[in-house]
Amino acid sequence: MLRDMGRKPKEETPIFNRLEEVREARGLSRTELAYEADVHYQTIGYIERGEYSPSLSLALTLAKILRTDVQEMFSLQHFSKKKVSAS
Amino acid sequence: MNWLPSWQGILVSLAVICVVRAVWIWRKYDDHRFLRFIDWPGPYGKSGTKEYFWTAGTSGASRAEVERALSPAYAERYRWMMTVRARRFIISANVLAWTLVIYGGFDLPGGLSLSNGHLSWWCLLPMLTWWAARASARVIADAPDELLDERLLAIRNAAYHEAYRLLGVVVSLIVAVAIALDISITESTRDFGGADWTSLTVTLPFVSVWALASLPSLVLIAKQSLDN
Repeated sequence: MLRDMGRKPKEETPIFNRLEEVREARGLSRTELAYEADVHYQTIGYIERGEYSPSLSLALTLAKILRTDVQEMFSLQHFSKKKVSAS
Repeated sequence: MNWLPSWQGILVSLAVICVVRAVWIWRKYDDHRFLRFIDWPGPYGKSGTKEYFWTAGTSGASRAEVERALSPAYAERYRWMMTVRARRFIISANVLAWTLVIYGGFDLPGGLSLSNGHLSWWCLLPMLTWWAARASARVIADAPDELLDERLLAIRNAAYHEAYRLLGVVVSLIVAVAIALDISITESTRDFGGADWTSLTVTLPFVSVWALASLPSLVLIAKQSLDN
């Protein structure tokens, strides 16, 4: 009955990422990237597995460290299989 | 019935509070420790005054302790405390320890073959289980904001929100257990004047303090939100 009362539970929009791919292309370990971004080393793993969506600020920081654009790493759609360049 | 604890009890309680406050100040601050201890409005700025370990929010752990607890080496060393089974055991042990202390407060040495003091050796159990919960949650519940990243902050804040909601349930349960025990003991000891509630004036606040301290860590480990 409660379901018919107009209030729907909020569903999180899934955010896809290829942080792991980009990080590995840059030759950084999770711990090194976490140190650079000033976050806990597990947080990088959570983001890579899609279990945690970073704030805009953290996403921008990660992009800056990995010398790429945010939209190259995070997207609302699945990424195509395009290979990340190491540069 | 004497509802007031003895003078010795009051002095011991004050001594314990002083020691806890001294240790907390020693670990939190590097300067003006004595002035901070006596709450003297000294030259150390506003943040030092009127700040106690129970009102300072989540800053019960020192920087060194939190950094150590969040390190990969700590996860490796205490991995056995972070398994699902260990965490379930720690949660059960906490609840058991609280119940036992309240139960012991009724002076029932025959029941569990315990000594019949107000605060006897089994009162160490809530402290031990509190430590275990804290270690299993990697001290995140007590860590200051500046040492946690945004994910850990979100997890910790959600755990506090849940813990405060749970607190009502825990307090209700403690009172229910106390009343149930009182009824059963009064029935069985009617000829001797019924149950003695004096002990509960000591054990209930004692259990409440440790339950309050442990709840956020317990919620954290219950949610299994900190896999390692």
